[in-house]
Amino acid sequence: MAGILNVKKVCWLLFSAILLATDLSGERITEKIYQRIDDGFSCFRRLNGTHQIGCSSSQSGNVGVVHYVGKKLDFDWLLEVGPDAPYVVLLAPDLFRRENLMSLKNSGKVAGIVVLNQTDTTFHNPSPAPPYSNDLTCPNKITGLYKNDEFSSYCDSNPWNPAGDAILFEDFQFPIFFINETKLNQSVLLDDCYLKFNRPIEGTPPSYPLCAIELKAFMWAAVDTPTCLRRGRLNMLLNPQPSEYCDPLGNVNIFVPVLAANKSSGPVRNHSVIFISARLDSASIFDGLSVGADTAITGMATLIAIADMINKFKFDIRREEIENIFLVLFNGEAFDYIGSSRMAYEMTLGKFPKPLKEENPSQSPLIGLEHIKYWIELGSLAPHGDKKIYLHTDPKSRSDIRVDSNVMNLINALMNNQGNLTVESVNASIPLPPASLQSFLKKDLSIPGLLISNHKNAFTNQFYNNEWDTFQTISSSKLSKHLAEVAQTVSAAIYKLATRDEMPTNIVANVTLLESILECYLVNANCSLFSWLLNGRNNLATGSILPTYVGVTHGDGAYKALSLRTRHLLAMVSGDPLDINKTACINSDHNEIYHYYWMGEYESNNSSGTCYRSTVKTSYAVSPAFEIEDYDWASGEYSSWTESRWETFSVRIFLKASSLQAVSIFVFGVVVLLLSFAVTYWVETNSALLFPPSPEAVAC
Amino acid sequence: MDFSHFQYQKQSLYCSHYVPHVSPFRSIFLFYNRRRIITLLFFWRLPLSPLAILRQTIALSIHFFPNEERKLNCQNQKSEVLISARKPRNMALLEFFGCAFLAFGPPLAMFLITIAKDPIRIIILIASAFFWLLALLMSSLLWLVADTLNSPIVVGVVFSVLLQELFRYLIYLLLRKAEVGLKKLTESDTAIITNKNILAYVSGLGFGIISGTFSLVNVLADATGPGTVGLHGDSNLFFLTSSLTTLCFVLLHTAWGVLFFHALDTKKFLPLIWVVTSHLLVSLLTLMNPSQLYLATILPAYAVLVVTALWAAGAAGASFTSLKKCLTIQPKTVQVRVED
Repeated sequence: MAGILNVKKVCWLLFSAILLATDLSGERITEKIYQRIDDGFSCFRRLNGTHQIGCSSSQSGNVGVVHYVGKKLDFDWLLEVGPDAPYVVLLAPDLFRRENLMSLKNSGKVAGIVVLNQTDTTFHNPSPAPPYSNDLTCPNKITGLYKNDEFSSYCDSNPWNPAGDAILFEDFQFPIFFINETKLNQSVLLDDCYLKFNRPIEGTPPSYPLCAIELKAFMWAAVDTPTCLRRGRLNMLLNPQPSEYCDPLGNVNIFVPVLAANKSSGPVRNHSVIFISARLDSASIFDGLSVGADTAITGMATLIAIADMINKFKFDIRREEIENIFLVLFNGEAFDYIGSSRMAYEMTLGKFPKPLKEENPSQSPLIGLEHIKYWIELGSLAPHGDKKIYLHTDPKSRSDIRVDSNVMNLINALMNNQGNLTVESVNASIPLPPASLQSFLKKDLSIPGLLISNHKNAFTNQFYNNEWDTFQTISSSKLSKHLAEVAQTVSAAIYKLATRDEMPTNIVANVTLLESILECYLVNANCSLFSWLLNGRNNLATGSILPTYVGVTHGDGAYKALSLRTRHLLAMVSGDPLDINKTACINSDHNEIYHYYWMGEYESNNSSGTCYRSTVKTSYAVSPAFEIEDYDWASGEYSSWTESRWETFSVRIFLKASSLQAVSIFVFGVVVLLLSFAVTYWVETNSALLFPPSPEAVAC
Repeated sequence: MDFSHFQYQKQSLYCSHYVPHVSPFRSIFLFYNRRRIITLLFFWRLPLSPLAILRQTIALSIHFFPNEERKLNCQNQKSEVLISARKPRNMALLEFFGCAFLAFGPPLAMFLITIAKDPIRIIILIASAFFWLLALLMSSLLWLVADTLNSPIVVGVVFSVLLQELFRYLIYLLLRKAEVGLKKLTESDTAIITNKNILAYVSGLGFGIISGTFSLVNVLADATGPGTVGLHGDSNLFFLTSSLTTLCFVLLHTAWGVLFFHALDTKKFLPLIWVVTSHLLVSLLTLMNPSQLYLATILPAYAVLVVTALWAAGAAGASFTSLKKCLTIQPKTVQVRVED
């Protein structure tokens, strides 16, 4: 018995020793071969009703020899000499332009492209020289208001976005990555890879082994949206573990009815609601790189400042004339007005804000297009040189005299309250630039509306829908002050329109709030304002910036993070602080009119938290095309954008042996194999003679 | 190109594009799934419902014919055809097969020609391979202890070599004990009984094959590509030298086996000492590999191999005269046959 016990003990000891041994990990050969590069952003594939755009690698990843192109001349060597195709081309950001990309694409020598953004090395890479935009010269024209009328040619001759090179809408059959290298002395891709192994010396191609890179960004969707959706349905039917191949682009629109109203007080009167809108999203080719500083955030921040001011005078509104003011942030506008077209669609169907239900007493009254009195949209507002803002209107709706007089009221209200700004009304015959308002005018031309922006003709925003549309390109000491002045002007005009009075001088735009908003959205999302809103649960890396790309409906993470924070922010500026504790706040009666937000319980701020009762709501920002049965995908009526699914993005570099070396090793191996068969066979057949029985063995 | 109507001009032909068949989340567990689906198909789902059978059959076919690049007729966009045609060849795969043939070709030939014909030899080969594994287990445990005591790797190597030789002695004892039983089993093929060197050779090869497999399989697994060693300054001949070293050890183990058994049988201690010391010497030489002195390892190792192999052959009864006989006698026998 004792013996058995001992054996058991020994076994147990051995077992635990082996368990411990798992800590000791040896170095695998993989680490000698590959080096992963993690700071990458990948281009991905999107589909619309008729096309696919973006990039995809093959399923196992695209492999190519690394070649750096730092100046235009280097292209010639690559395209004319470059014997080691396929290549993966490292491009300086300034060279990532249409003509270069197309010559690379058409050369057939390229397996992928990496935009190498280096902060500091011997190869100096400045951000690309403006103007630089990857959107179309006439963004969103196809789903816009002027698709088939006399104004449609205006943009062709006077493009709103002349810098637009439409790279965003190009289909690449290879992956494109944007890689940040912030190492100060040693760059992995350039120094350790390209310069060490691959640089041609005086035009002579380098000799093997060459440094190669593998880019993996395989996209599951292909062809176009209807095809992809059909395949997804088929997959759902037949596959034991079904999954879609693509998802509709979508997120949420965020809106605030300034005054809480209940459906019990009767339907809303026609032409009695003022809408103020801005957009929340921008786009770029690369996943996760869409700050949209001027494209989206300037207008959005101004809208929040206006919401803050309106909240202070909301009880002055003459209810017999203006029943409510709606502040709306649209999402997905960069991709054919997803958010605004959905809201307009719901308004026409009588489903906005929510379809009425008998059993639910706490609901807002329905808002339709006929209830809209005025529409003010805020576009890009960063100051470019002067302190001017421009009012764009729609010539189609203004051909009606009644609408025109209302638009003139609106223009006059803004011009009379211009303060330090110069407000200029753009010629009435010029059509609207790309704006959410177009989606509503498309449904109902009787809406008097205008767009406030920082440009008269072409965009002054030099990086419209581009990854370089960041704080750096619009930063100036005057930015927040300028936006505050715009907010002041708009609020004063609304005060005038809603109360027929001048706005009291004690109501001023909150510059500090604007500064915090700009910091949070453009510089560092791990900011105190966001932390305050989320009770310290901000959980973002310092220095990270939330991408403004709309994302997909089923997605989560970064794209939903932005709308979550924005909703809380609007709840704070437009809500009423209540004097109740946390439990009472959380357990309050959340309904379709009011929602209760517990905010400001933030440890490092030492504040105890406040309960805000707010009318902030969200509505789906998914294109109606995905709701309508038998929608004609080629019609261009609504946005039809979907985004492909993918598994992972990965980048790694390694050496590629020369074909000669590989072939000679192979031949050597085969020769050894054959020779050993021959020799063994010979020895075996002659073994009796070769190994005669020794005398000792015989003696045995 | 005019982009104003970009979006809704239906293009009649699409160029090459990938058509996915398998759901994204699935390919991660592809291997697991494949087995699972086969199991389901044949043992569980099959008798249940025709729809399930259809689903599983399709799923199965999807798995065995995954993403196929479908190229449609493409006239407008020549560039895209060019791109899809230009797929990089994986030269690393060629290197992988070269290295595999190099390291495992000779042992494979020896196994197929001299071992596979006799079940007894296969059993003995496996048994000795198992004994080598036991030695590996022991040395791993020892190394575990040594590593916690921060001993240099030399200690581990020395103990590992001594353990391997100890287990070679144990398999020798076992085989000599089993000889009586073997005699009963083998009635037709008496060579294995009459010539003791065959047993020694088989057990030596067993040691060699298993040690070679263990030292090279991990390396070969990483050699399938697309990359090769050298990005961080290592020699790009790493796979070749690893294979050469492995082959040397496989052959050395075979020769050591013969020599070791012979020494014990004849109670000569010089070959025994040679086996242990040369094993130690060659193993310690491989410690120079991290500093990329590959030739300094491989050349002495092969020199030791030649000496040991000749010595072992001599011990097995071969001599210059017997070699000469082999080379010269054959034509005579042929002649005789012709005369008949």
